[in-house]
Amino acid sequence: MEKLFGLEMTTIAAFLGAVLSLVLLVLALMGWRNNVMLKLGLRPILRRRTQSSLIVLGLMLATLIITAAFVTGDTLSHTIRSLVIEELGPVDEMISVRANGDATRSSYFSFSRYEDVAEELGSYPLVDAVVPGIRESVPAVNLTRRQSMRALQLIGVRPEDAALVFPVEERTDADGNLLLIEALEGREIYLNEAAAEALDAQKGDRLELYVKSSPRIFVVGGVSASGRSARAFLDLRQAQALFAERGRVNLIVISNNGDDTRGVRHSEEVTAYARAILSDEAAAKRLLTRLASDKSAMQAIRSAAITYEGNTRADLLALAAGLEAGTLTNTLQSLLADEALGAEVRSILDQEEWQSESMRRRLVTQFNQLSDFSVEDTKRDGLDQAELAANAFTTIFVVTGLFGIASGLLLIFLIFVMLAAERKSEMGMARAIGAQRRHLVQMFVYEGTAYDLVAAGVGVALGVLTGLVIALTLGSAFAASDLAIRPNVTLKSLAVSYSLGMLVTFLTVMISARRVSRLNIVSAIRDLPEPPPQPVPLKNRLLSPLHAFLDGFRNLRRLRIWRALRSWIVTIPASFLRLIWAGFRGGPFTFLLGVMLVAAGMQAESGALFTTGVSFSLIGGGLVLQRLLALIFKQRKVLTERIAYTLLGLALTVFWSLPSESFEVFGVKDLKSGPEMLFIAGFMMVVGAVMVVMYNTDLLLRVILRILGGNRRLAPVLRMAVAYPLANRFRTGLTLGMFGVVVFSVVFMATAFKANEAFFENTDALTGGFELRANANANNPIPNLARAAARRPELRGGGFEVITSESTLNVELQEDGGRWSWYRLRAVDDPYLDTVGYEFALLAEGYESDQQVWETVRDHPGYAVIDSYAVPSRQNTSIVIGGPDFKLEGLYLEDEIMEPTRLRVRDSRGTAFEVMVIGVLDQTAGFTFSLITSQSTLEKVLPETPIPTSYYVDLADNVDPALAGAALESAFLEYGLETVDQVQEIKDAQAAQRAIEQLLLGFLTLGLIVGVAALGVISSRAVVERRQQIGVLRALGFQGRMVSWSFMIEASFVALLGISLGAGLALIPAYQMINDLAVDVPGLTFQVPWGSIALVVGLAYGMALLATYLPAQQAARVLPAEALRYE
Amino acid sequence: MNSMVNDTIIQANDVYKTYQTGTVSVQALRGVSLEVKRKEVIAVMGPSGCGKTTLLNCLSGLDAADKGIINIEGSQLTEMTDYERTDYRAKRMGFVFQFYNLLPVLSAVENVEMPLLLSGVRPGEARDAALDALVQVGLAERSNHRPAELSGGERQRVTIARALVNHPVIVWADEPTGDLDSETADQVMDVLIRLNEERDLTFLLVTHARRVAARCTRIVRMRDGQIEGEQTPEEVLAQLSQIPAMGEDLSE
Repeated sequence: MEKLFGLEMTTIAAFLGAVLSLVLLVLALMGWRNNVMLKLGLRPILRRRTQSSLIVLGLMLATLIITAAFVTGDTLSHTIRSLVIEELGPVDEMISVRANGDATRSSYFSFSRYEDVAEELGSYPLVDAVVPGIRESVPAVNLTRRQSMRALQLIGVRPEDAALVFPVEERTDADGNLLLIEALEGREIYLNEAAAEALDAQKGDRLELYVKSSPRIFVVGGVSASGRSARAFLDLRQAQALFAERGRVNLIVISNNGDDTRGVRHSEEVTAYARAILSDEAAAKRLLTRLASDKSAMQAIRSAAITYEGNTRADLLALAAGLEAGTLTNTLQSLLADEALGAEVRSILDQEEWQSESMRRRLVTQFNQLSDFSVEDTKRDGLDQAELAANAFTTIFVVTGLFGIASGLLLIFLIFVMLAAERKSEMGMARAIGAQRRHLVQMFVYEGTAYDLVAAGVGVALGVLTGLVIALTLGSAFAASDLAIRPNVTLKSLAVSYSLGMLVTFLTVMISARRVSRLNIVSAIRDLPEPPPQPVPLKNRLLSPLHAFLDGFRNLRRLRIWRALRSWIVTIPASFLRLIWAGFRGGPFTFLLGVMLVAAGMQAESGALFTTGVSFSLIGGGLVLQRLLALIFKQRKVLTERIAYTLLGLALTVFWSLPSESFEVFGVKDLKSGPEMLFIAGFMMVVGAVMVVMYNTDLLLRVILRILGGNRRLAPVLRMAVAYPLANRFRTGLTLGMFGVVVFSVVFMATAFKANEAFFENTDALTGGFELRANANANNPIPNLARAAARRPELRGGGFEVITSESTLNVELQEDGGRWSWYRLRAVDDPYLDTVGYEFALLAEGYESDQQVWETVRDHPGYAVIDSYAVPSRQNTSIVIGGPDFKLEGLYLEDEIMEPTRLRVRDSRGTAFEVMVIGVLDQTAGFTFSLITSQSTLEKVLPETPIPTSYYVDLADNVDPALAGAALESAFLEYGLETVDQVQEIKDAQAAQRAIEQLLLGFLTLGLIVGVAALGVISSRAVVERRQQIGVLRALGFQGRMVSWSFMIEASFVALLGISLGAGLALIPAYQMINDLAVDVPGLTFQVPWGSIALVVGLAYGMALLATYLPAQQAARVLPAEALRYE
Repeated sequence: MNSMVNDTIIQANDVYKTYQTGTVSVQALRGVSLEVKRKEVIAVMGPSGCGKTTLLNCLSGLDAADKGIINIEGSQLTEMTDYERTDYRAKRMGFVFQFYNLLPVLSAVENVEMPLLLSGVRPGEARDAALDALVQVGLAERSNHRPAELSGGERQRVTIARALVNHPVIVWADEPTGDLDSETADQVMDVLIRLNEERDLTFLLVTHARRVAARCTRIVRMRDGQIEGEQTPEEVLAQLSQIPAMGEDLSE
């Protein structure tokens, strides 16, 4: 991958590398200055190898997840890039005729025009070759084997140019012979592998190619052993004769200097140069003067640029900068002459209401006058798309990995708390003999960094493996499209993953080290419980910045300049920070922050801000309540904490369990939320529930003991097993949290996926009742398939109940004078509107039923319905890659009803008309972005109605769509009609989706490693910590087996509690989300994914037991006499 | 003091025990033979490292002797498996340690009831018996406190209650007053002696303190892993009175 979050990977790698090096350098210097702490920090690593291994396992997870996400991105990027490069071979740019708003304009130009262009471009040093050609798409039929295809791309080139247009693999047959164009005899063509496969063709087969509906017979002269998209190549002269365009071509291909891969590096410059020389300088100057005359235009382009991605964004910014400079440079001229960019600029300016309709038309004309040719940087554009797709997947996996990363960081914290507990008396002694607190921090940081260095390395290695598994699984998920995944890992990604994982872990280590170094020396030496910290009076806190300020002066007077500076620069800000932090810890500031976030959330209609704000207010309120209760019930700390934190935990859990409509009671409406809400919800609910459990575990245990404690054999074991987690509330809470968060994410996703399965089951809602879809080539369409089919005797009795037709055209849509955005318009015939079964998410006011809406569209030209992609949802839980960005204003999918909405539609020739949208289709019908209207609507407003090229067929019951499709294809072989079994298509899509879902679930489950490592660390630590107690128990009569059972039950208690918390809590938001979505998506029902839950619970619990088994066995082998000798 | 001793409860013959600490082997017991009668209160004394605790561990079955025969109540301990020894400890023995060795995560009453639960007593009955035992050592009101919330003397009394709750025949005590001031140590010894008299229990105490030893029925002196000889309480008392200036809690 080249970029992440819009930043160059090289820049990110350099920055992170620099920060990491700086951190390591500072640590090395500190270690060199005081190597006692370094030695103390590093010594335990090799001494306790098992424990060290477990720590490394826990610490590596964040790096593993980050690396896996990057490697997935790298592999996908590399795969798609390779496909683009293989497909285009030496071709870097393509030049063709610009329509400039005139659809009737011929795409051909004279050969002499090509020669002029070639002369000018050929002298450019970065250009290797400029080649003329013809490119056309035609329906093709293999007469020998009766197999047809709708769109075969024909490419005509001169024999000497073939090597400059096609990759050598595509010009070589299976035996390794070069397919030479000059060797083709009259009416012979070569097919590439994909074309041969689609037509089932072999050398010598007779093909019928349809040019403007008339068939021409060709013979297959050879088949190449490569090529992914179906194309055929022939001599340019043959092509000119075939399309009746003698002496003319419709394509100029440019190959840059450098091979297939490297040539693209010059693409930006070559494209700019080509656009500059092919555009009219005077027209460009006029356009520049016009655009630069208004600063708001540049501003609009600049601010709109950030909503775009990839090259388009960069080009728009460069254009805005060029317009600002006001001078027509080659670059600026080429940007203006970029046809696609020009369309974007016009769209941006339309939206800004920058100009009146007449001005707008003039601007269109000025853009059209710029050039007759469009120069496309085809390869560079393809590579850019590869990058965007790879980025999208990386983002998905990073976001999904957040749960694992979060619980990984909790684990690091836990590990350091445990390490500190282990060395408590050692640390106390060190402090007693003069070590400062910072020395202890240093000691832990050295140790943590050493683990971290190794863990990040292991994480990267395992992350690479995981990433490759993910990428390969993705490849098989898309097996239907025959995508061969090519594993790839870049050094940059590895460097970024290592540094990022290392730094995130290091930061957590720092925070943990600071926390654990705060200890009471006497308690530490005698291994007594840490006394509660002495509260600092508020007055002292408030005055501490002032004291620091005065201290500075005092030091200055004594000429201690360094100390004075330290007081002012370090101590004053630190005391302010402490003051603020105390405010947060005490509750009031947390509460205020929450209130502010709530207000901001309501203002910005942001669900994330609002709900996080309420959570902060609750946490702040809970902390304040605890303080107040402590004042009332003095000396009853346990009670006050129990009341305050139980209420707080319950409030958090209940709040996050509420359905979003419940906020409307408080007048909060229209909150929007995105996928990040899932992460926040999961985290908050688990935190709340863990609080409730941890402050009431004794009650829970009493119940457990009452139920199970009656068993005489089990009673003592159970007593010990539950006593320890209860006594170590912090550790237990953290472990519960880790299990809870991860299991929450897995179960939530599994539930959502299960509902999705049900969604796919409803094939009628997805197909609209049409089992078969057929497509014909625009060069050879069937104007009325229903009538044509009726005339074919072989189709009679084939179960074709209704055959409908549809014409599709790309249009632009505008609502209420807003921005024009491209969209797809589907004009369907009356039988379609009579038969279609799609349901609606929203009906316009005055319409009672779906049926009524469809009838209105059929009977009244000018009426239309639109798909659900055009309407925003308040629950934005899906990620849509690509597609138009047109959205209806002021309307949400969750609304009950809509106003009839008037839209302006503009076709490619600029003809504009209006339609009235009276319904929004359900999401089930939303496979394509489309505005659906009747063909009669178009007949009324367009001078020439487009001919239908798509057909939908309703088959009788018990008719096999595959057989019916084959019959239809065979009957209309000469049209190259292609049919698709829509139900099968859905099933294939479902299978691909299922594979991706399983992959995401697997990725989430990685987080379980954390919980398991936590239990492993806790258990092996417990063996050391409780050695003497094990001795006592053994002396009292505990059998060795009972000791190990006690350990296993303890781990089971923690693991099962965490797992059930996570699983139980996840079902609440999952239920609500699915119920919310079910309003718009019929067939979507909440089902508990018992199978997945059982699998996750079984896996998590099994792994937890496995992690505890060894320490438990170790504990069982402790010799009582030896253990009792321990002090 | 009860001096009615008749049948033998502990019989150790020629017991050897060697520890391996790194490359060094330490002969902790070198042919120790000892006989203890029922209801006796025996104090084992001797300098640090002489093998007192090792003797106690071997006799109580906490550790296995390398050589020699140990008979407890007529059963040969050295022949028992670890399971049988553990079971025997749970049902017939009680332990008191210098540093109390209470389970910090359990309350006083939960600590005390643990041996009963291990002996298979129903939890309800075990709780009642544990509370009774705490009453006997004067800690009824502190039954729900955790060890960290109790003083040293209170902790040791909980340990004693725990050692006695399942009505053992022998109580092993390793430095039971080692971590206590003299006044508290006296109180703890009062409790032990009272229980010895009331319940006919046999006590084997390892101690440094002459003052404690002087209250026992018999004193066994050890040196270098062997029994050096025996003393009467009177002899120990006489030694104590010769060096009063050294303080009350005088050790060897």
